[in-house]
Order: sequence, then structure tokens, then C-alpha cells
Amino acid sequence: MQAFEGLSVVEVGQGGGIAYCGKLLAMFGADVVKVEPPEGDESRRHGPFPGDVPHPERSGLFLVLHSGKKSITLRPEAPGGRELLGALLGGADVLLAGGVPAALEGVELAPSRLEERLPGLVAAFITPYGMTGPYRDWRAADLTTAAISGVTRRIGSPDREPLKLPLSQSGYQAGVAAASGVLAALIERERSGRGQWIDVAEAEVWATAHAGFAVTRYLLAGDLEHRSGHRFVNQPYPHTVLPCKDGYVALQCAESRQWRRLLEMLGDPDWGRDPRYRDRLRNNRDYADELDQHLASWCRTRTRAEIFVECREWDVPCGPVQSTAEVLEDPHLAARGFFVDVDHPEAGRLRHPGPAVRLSDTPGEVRRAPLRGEHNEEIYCGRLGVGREELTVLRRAGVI
Amino acid sequence: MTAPALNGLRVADFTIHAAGPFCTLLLAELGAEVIKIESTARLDIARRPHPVYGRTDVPPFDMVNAGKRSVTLHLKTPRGVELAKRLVAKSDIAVENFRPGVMERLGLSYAALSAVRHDLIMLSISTSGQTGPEREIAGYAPMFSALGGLGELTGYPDGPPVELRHAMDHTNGLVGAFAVMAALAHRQRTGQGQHIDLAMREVASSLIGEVLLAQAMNGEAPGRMGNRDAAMVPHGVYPCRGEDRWVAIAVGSDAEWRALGKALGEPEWARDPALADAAGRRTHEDDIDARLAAWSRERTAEEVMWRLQRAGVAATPSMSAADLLRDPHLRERRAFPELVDERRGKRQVVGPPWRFSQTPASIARWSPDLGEDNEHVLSEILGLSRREIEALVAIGAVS
Repeated sequence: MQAFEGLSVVEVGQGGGIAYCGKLLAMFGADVVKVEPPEGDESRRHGPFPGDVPHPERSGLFLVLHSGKKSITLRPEAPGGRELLGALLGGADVLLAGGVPAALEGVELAPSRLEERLPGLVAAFITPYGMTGPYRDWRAADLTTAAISGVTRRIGSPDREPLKLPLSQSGYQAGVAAASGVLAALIERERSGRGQWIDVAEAEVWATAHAGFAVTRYLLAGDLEHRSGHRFVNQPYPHTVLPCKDGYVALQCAESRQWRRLLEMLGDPDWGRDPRYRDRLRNNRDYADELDQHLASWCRTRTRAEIFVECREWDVPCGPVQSTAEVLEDPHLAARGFFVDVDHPEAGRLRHPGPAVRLSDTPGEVRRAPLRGEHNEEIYCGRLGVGREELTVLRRAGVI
Repeated sequence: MTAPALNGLRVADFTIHAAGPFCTLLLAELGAEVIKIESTARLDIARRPHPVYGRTDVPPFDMVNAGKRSVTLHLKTPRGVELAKRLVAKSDIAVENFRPGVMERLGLSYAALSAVRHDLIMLSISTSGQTGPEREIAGYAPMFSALGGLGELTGYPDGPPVELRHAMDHTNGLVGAFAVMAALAHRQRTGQGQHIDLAMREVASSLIGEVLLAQAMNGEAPGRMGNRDAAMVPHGVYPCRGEDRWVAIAVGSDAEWRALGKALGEPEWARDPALADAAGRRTHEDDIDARLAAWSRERTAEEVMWRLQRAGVAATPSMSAADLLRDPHLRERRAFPELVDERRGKRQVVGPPWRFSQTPASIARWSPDLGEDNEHVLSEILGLSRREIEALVAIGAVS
């Protein structure tokens, strides 16, 4: 038995947030129906593709974000589209709606309307800026969402432009946040019998969760975090990334005993006893460049793997910066069975990351992503009672 | 007023540092009673005042421990451990983020704890997970990112990886809260608890799914791209008037490119037919970036944002913490609410990441002083008498 067995989820609209939220629910057993426009979800046009040849059934982004879901096609704004969507929602426990608020409201997916019509439904609205506020209908991309929410400003070199995080992290972050919100609402519904809606703004998830430390630091200490390149300066030295023989390693000693062990590991060098370096917080502000030099001269003669082994022996926190290929071949992850091979009729067998977290009794599983409209008959005819002829008419009219 | 979503649930919180406490903060915001068990044998590094790290980076501690209660138990004494077990017996959830093996050594493993609370949900958060050859390694945010593959992708395209802590602790906290509630939903139906194993490097890997698939498909994957995007162009962060002021601009289609040109006043370079489609703009991306930077440099970030957003182009300032606090949008949405504490007065805090229509999430109280709730926990929850408590203090099990 899986944690969400029997839970019926409908995913409508755009963005990585609903997609990742739906994936998490599907992974642990929910029945997630992805509603795609007839031309297919926008992520199907996004790479990576095998051999870089675009194909709607072979988009790596689509395959990874929609694993374990069912797909139906529907144009909610076409005549009869809203009614079909309404019927689908009538039998659902959870709605995940994503995109621009005005567009969602245009197809009757306004929070207040839904609450009236379907009081038992838990509806999560995952949008760039939220369903309220002066920016709610603004344009957004992962880059601009990360910028406005205080993330980019702190990443990168002090003398260069602020940086975003890789890929579309805004969607991943908002997706996980929304999934936890949906579960809280479902747990509450079990008690009260009543659903509710949840407004999750990508920008706000960044601003409160991820930029929260920087905001609190400013509120309590009046300090603004600045970009500090490969180091983080608000914590004791080292909190740094250094070059070595075959790449980079991240080193951090939050505790002084870790720093003492690191110096021992280096053979107790003279500079380690320099009285100027006694205060590790000050080291990060005033002496980090020279300390980096000291450490890097040791690192440069060693590979990441050698440094990792030595650091393990001395119990010094160290992270070799692994390439994507190395992550896929990582023996530790292999021993834990993290990666899963998934067969797909169009994309073949591909290695997917497994569930991000392991639950002992309801472990979850990664299943393949659906073909576009693969479940039209099952859902429209089987679940909603639409006749086969009617289905043909809807198809011809471009509704599905 | 409706009761919050997790009302009536209690969390025995053994976590320290960032990811674990952030996870239990989320549960506290949803209405669970979170009791932070602070072992006087080894206090959280950011605990204020800390005997050694008293003046370290404490604001994060205040953020992630808001809304919780604090009890001080000496977990290296048998009586301290027994009290912790009695507290777990009265809790629904236990969360810990020690290195694998530590809870066992303390006598607080899942086996030991589920023996005193049969339907316990226990979340164990660690760098590498509870199993596997590297289970015992120590780690912080940069290690999860480096090992998990996110780190390799973080930085300028022409430079080394930049610092890697970003998003790690908080994502892990969010995933942990999700997992705990998944187990709660399961418990509601079956009455059964379970043990959750969260490896933070695996969470990091789960955030780069499409790159892992690219590697699996083609035997190669893109590396660091900085602010550039595989599809959108131009796509960057450009300098503005003022010190360290920047604006992010992302153009997602040819129509948006034309809208950008209009908003810029149709300069000749932007009308170049070679730039009309994404492929053309990609070829000339450096030139476009230089032109845009020259234009934005003369303007404030806010001016650029309003002008481009009105034209339908995604543009936002790169905000600092101070900018976030005065942002009219976040203010209207009360992202940073005011918390009034009887003893400590008024303070602005960082609010929860969601808005619920019926059962609002909120922060009920400021982060507790060390042992502030010993009385509440020991006498009200565990039902100990004053004399029993005094005896426990005398032997050092409680401080």
C-alpha cells in the first residue's frame, strides 16, 4: 500500500511547480491526471532530447516531471471545456492549478468559486507571484522569480552580476512547498470534512524559506548578505570551494574541532598556529584569501577522491563537486538503489532519480510518464461517462 | 477562528543546525506543538548564548526555531534519555538530524522509540542517508549540493562553482515536512507509523532531474550556464543605476522580443532582422547583453521593471533582504508578519511559505530561550511533580 493510494489529483495549467508537486504525489501512490492542452504541455517542447532531436514524447524535462501520472488532453477555454473540467474536478480530492492567475480565473478556476462549488476540494494554486498582490499578473521566468525574491542577489562574485541557481529551481521549490501544504489540508480535511485552497507563490517560497535567513539577519543584526564568490562569509572559515587536481571540493568546518582535525590532516603546518588565525569568523572576513591559498596548495596535489577519503578518515566535512555523470554512477547512491531504470514506449529505457525521501512502509515508486492524451478514453469514457462518439466530436472540435 | 491544520499533533524535535529545525518550523507553522529537545551535552552551534559560539551567526537560529518550545535534557545521562523517551511516547512525530548511529548510541533509535510509541512517525535527516557505504560522513549544505550534482551546475559559465549552500537546507526541510505529512496521512488511514530516511544529497540530486536524464540519454549533460537559459534569450541580470543594483530580464518568445524593443524605444540594434528569432538572438547573445546593460545602467531597477512588465516582458530587480522587507507586493501579502510577544515585545518575523484559506499557517511565538519550557514539558506533558523535577535537576538530567 502506498501513502496516497486512492487519492485523486487533477493537475491543470502551466509551470514546473504543479508538475513537481504532482510528481511527488504520484510517486507515493496518488492517481494524478495531468490535463494537457491538445498540443501538449509546454514542457514537452523543452529539452533535453535524445540526440538533441525535439520530440514531444522524448523531452527529458517532461519525462522527469510527469513520471507516474496519467495524461488527458483538454482545452478548458473551448466550448464545453469548462464543463468537462468541472466534471473531472467533481470527483477529485485535490486540484493543482498553475500559471497566471487571470488565465486560471478565466476558466473558472478562481479560488473562491471553487470553494463554493466544491467545498470538499483541496486546491493548490501555484503561481509566480501568488493569487493576490500588485504583481500577481506579471510575467515571470525562473530567473526573474529568483531575482525578486532575494535569491540571486547573494549568489556570485562581489564584482560580477548576481546569479540564479541552475535549471528551474523556482518550480521545484514551490512544488515541494505546495505538496506539503496540500497534505496539511488533507490531514485537516479528515478532521473537519472540509477542503480549502492554498495560495503558493514561487517568489514567496524563495523569499520566506530560502531568503529567510538573510531577512532575519537583516532584521536582527542589520547586516545585508553580499555576494562572496566561492565562500560564505557569515560563518567561521572555512566555508569554501577550492580547486584540486581534478576539479573542486567544498570544505566547511562549522565546529572548531573540525578545523583542528583539518589542520592535523594537513600535517600541523606552521601557518595553522599563526595567532592572526585564531578567530575563525574573522578569518572569513580578513584572511580568507590567504587561508584559501594554504588549503589549495594541499588540495592541488590531490584528486577529489583522495581528498574525500582523507577527510573521511579525519572526520572533516568535505564534498567533492561531482559531475552529472559521476552522480549517476555514484557507488553510494547505487548501494542505496537511488536511481531507477524506467521503460517508456517512445523514449526507451532511461535512468531516473528515485523518490527523494524513503518512507519505510510506503516507499513510493517511479513509474513512466504518460504519452500525450494516453488516458483520454479511460478518464473521459470510463470515469466521466462520455460516450465514444461524443469523444470523437470533442476531438474534432479541438476541445480534446 | 479555525484550528490550524496540524492542531493537536506533537513533535519531539531533536534537530540541530538548519535543515532539521527548518523542517520542524514548518510543522510548527501548521499548528503542531514542537518541542525542541536541547541536549546540554551538545548544544546547537547557533544557540544563543552558546558557551563557545556565543557570537556566531545566530539570526538563522532565531528564524528556524520560532514557534517552538525548548526543554533541556542531558542526553548522555540515563535519566535524560528516559525523559526523552517519555516525551516521545506522548508525541506523534520525532525528527532528528544527527549523523546515522548517534540516536542508536543514545538509546533513541527508531526501534527503541517505536517500542514506547507504537504509531510513531520518525524522520531521520542526514547527509547520505541511514544506509550505504558513506552513511557516516559529516556534512553541511555545500556537501549535499557538491555530492548531489547541483553544485557542479552552480556558477558562472566561465568560472569555478560558487558557494554551494543555497537552497539546500530549506529544500531538505520542505521535503522532510512533506514526508512527515505523507506518513501522517498514511497513519490516519491505517493507524501505522513508520521511519523516514532522508538523505540530503539525494534531495539535491532530485532537483536536477532533467540534467540527469540528459546524461542518461546522450552521455553528456550541460554544465554551468550562469544566468543563461537553453530556450530563452536574452536572459540575464543587468546593471542598474546605484550601488550593486541589478535587474533580471527574461525574454521567452519572439513576441516578447518585439515588446522589449518597443519598451526600449525601438533602437536600431533591436530592429535588426537577424535578432527576430531565438536562433539569431543566440548567435548575438553577447552583443544583446552589452546593449541591454548599456541601457539599464542609465536607469533604476524599479524603472526598468515597471517599464518592461507593462510591455509584457518578465523583468524584476535583484532584491536584497532590505528590498524584500519594503516590497509592496510582499507587504500586501504579509510575507513578513509582525509577532507580538508578551515578554519580548514586537518583532517582524519571516512568515510561512503558504496561504491557506481556512486554516492559516502562522508563527505563534518567538524562538524560545534555552530550557524556557522545562516546566511546561516536565509537569504538564509528562506529569512530573515538583519534587521529581527538582531531583532530576539535582542529578543533571535536566538543567
